[in-house]
Amino acid sequence: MQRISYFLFLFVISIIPKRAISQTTSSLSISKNARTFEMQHTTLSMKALAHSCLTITRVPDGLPCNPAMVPFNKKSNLSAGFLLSNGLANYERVRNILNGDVDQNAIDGLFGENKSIQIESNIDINFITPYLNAQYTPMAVRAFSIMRNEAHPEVDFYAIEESSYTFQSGYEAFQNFYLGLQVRQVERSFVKQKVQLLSLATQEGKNSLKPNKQSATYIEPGATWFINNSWKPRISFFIANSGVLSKKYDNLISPIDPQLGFGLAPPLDWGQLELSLEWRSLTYQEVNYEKLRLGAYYQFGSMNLMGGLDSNGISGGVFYDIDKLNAGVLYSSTKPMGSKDQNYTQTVYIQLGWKI
Amino acid sequence: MMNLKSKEYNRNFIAVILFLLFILLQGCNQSKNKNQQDPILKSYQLIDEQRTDEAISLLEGEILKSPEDVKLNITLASAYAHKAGVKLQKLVGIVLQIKKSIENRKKIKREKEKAGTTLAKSSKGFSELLIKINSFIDVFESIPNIDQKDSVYLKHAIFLLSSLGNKLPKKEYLYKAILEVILFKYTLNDTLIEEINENVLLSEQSCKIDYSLLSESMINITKLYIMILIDLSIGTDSNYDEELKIAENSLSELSLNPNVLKDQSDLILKQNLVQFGFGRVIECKE
Repeated sequence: MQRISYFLFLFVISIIPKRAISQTTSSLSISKNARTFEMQHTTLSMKALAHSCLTITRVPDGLPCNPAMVPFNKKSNLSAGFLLSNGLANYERVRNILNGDVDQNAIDGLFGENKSIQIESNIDINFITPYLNAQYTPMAVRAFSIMRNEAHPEVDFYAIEESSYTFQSGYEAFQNFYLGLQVRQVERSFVKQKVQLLSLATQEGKNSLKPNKQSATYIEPGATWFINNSWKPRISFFIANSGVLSKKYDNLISPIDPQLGFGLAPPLDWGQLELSLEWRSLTYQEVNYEKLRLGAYYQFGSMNLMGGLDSNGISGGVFYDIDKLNAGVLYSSTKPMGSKDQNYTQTVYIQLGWKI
Repeated sequence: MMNLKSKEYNRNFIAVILFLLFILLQGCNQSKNKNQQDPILKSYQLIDEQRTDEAISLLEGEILKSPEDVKLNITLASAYAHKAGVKLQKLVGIVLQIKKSIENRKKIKREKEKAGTTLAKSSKGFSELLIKINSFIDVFESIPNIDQKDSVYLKHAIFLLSSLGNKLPKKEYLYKAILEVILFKYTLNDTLIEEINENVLLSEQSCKIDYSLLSESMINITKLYIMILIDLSIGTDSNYDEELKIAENSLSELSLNPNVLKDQSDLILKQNLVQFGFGRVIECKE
């Protein structure tokens, strides 16, 4: 066990210098969405936890973030879930742009009145067992746009539509040490551009909003080591985005991202509590401290309360899992508590699901 | 045995805590540098918060360090435009209207034929220019009005963009043209068109036109019109050669033969009296 902990420590030290990124890249945005990111497909629970879920043994509304946690799902089930955020009014316009239908009406509708737009919508079908998990996502749409400088507006816009298959398996390799593997196959269509608003009145500008396509196959290993203690501490690590892409684009990056998490489950008289501190990237442009994420998950019966905090903002949500139906709501904000900053984004997500 | 095991676990915990501290220290070290936000992004934020003067100070300071930076100069021009009250998000539709207006050749041709039967041949070019200006009236209501103080800032914004010369990216010519259109409307309003003062009795006999001021105003307006056409043609990849030729001919006529305006004085006076009221070029005795 000593050797394992020292190996982990050396591993972390070796990767941190490679992850040093210019500080200006991460500061090039004002008021991004706190919990929707172009390259992250996540459920309501994961968002509520500020994406700090590697050490969470059971995600109530989807597959575990770490495939090494597969053996902790004691009950098999087949379920479907539908996630929706606010900003629905722009859903059709975003879909039109992703389908290549970039006309003046779509541009006026998206950028004529609004300074920022946001939307996320996912459909997931999950098959969960103690040995193998599978997820089919027929459609996941995410879009975010922010307009800056009202005198000569510059629009920072992304829209992405994905369909994917995900398979997970895990097992206990040694005592309290679990290994897992996740395989994902993703088809995506996306637009990601920074353009002057005026240029969208020209054909050249409209052409810059034409969608690109990409296929990706990821093979992502994970591991978790549980330490014998009443507080059940555990250390997890996961290698995200290791795989192959059909075509690389400079404006859509998904580099291999090593992720590390530390979790605790303090014993409680009522319900179960899990705390998670994680170091992972979501935009692949953060500086190191921005990759730290803190999540808390409290389960009491069919009620699941979750909260999360990271450099993007705060989030809090509740998810109910009652027999065959489940539902949840989540609030997130980029505005830090007590801040008087006027530039911030608030998002509400709802999720509905049912089990067969 | 139990003590040895517990010591081992304690060491593991210490290793984990050290690793977390290491990450936090790495992050703190980088966070000091993070505070140096991109100046252009910062200026965008200041403009959107209506702190335009601070944005201008920031950008002018950055331009002193990097005078050749095109993006900084364009952003500074936009800050001055913002100080003049220009908020472009609402004006994007005007670009399409202006294109439609200029490209409405059939309407202009009809007006040209109609005007050709009543006006002297020597002033035909000037008449065509008047007709073309009239075709802009459709979009004028959408263009924001600015006052004299705003016009100073707007002129400086246009000057900043013009001073970039060939370095100005092609897509920014459209923005320059929009600013010039706003200035064009201000200049027209200021020199030719004012609100009617209902208490003043209107009479052709009691009013006379200041021809030199009218000529100077028309020359300035025509030059601005030519600049708009050139910038629109570059920014939108469109051809306005015909309109440019007419405008340049008019400018020549105005410059070489100021008396051409005398032939049109009755027409202008009647149009101003009936439609728009008095302008600065017309002096009326009550």
